[in-house]
Amino acid sequence: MMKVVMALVSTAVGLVLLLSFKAQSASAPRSALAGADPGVPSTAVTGPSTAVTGPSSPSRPHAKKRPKGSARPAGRTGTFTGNPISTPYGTMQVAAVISNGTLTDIKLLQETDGGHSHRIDDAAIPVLKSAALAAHSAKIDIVSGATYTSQGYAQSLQSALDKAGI
Amino acid sequence: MTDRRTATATIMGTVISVAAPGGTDPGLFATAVDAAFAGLRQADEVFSPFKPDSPVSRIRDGRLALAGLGTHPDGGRIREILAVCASLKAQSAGAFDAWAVGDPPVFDPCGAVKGWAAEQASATLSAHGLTGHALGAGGDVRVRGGSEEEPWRVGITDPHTPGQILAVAELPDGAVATSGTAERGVHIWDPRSGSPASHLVQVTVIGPSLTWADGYATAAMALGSQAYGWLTALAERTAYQALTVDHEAGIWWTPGMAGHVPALRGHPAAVGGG
Repeated sequence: MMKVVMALVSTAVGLVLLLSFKAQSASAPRSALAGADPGVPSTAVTGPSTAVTGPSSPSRPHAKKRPKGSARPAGRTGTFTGNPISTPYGTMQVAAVISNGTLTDIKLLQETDGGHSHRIDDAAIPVLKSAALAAHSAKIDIVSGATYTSQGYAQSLQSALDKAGI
Repeated sequence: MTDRRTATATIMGTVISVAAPGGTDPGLFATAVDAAFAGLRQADEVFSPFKPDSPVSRIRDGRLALAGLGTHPDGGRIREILAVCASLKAQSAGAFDAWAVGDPPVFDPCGAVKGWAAEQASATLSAHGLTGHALGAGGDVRVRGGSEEEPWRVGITDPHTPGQILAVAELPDGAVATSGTAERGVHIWDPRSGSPASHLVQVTVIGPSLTWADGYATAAMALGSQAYGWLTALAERTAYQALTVDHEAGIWWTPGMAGHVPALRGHPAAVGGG
């Protein structure tokens, strides 16, 4: 059990890594995620994109100014439902709540169910959620930390963000 | 750095990501990234202990003799990794030992391969003209081509608040490697003393090369309570600086770390720990 929890905690960091790039990507197609099957190498290359930043950032002493000429796109607002993603433990589906172009909440619509895996998800989901939200607001380029990937959660969230256009 | 190109791939069981400034030529970016990812896939073929016929698996099982590496097509890179492993073992007084991993102890250089392979991948990106980039390999990071005015910003995870960032390092060029249990209260068993060795839960090492930053971070975790003295000596004799987090959320760092992490400036260099 301990190893499982550790892997899932690490998963959150992998998600941060993924989303930290997604956070920089205004209009990329489903690009920031690697393939659903960890055993199948996949490559995604996206073009230049403009960062979408939140409406307020008063407490970021190290935040850099945006370069001149880099227009902030109009932020969208709404709840965007991600695709249901099958995992070995069941189906995972989330919805992204977007306010003025910033990810403000993640709602869990379907989680994997049944026995052991359900208990794992109970512990992991708050972790994954906080990881995603932190990455979206931290203004960092990349994250150093133990990582893994939670393909289901990350992919569903990715598809929701793609639908939101952020 | 707000505008950028990005690419990701799943290689070596983890996520590899590359980011570069948005003004980068798209053809150059794609070519460089393809070459770097291909190199990582090749390294996985050679070094994976999970592939039964990889050279490392065959070394572990005694099917491939070290003496035969001179003519082996992958001999050069295998010997490079063996040299890294030997150096880390010597520098850590045996705490990091690729020849005694697990129970029963077997040869497994995984602890050194990821950092080394990512360092090679970053060099490949540069060799293909992508001189400014941030490469992430399962949480180990190599950045190049930033400036003092606009460094890369590398978040260091907070092991006690999963998903949150403990600190942000700013560096134009260099490596950031983090090793840890990512789980509060986990103790590392020290076979040398027969007791729980560590109250460290995370070690981050920043320095010029990801090969060594990753190896030093891994070795420090294995050293447990001896890590503080070891990391202090390391920081005095090399360009590698460390930041540790213990199981009570105490943070400790070597003095030079404040040069990379602005938030540490103005604080004494040991809060908890040591």
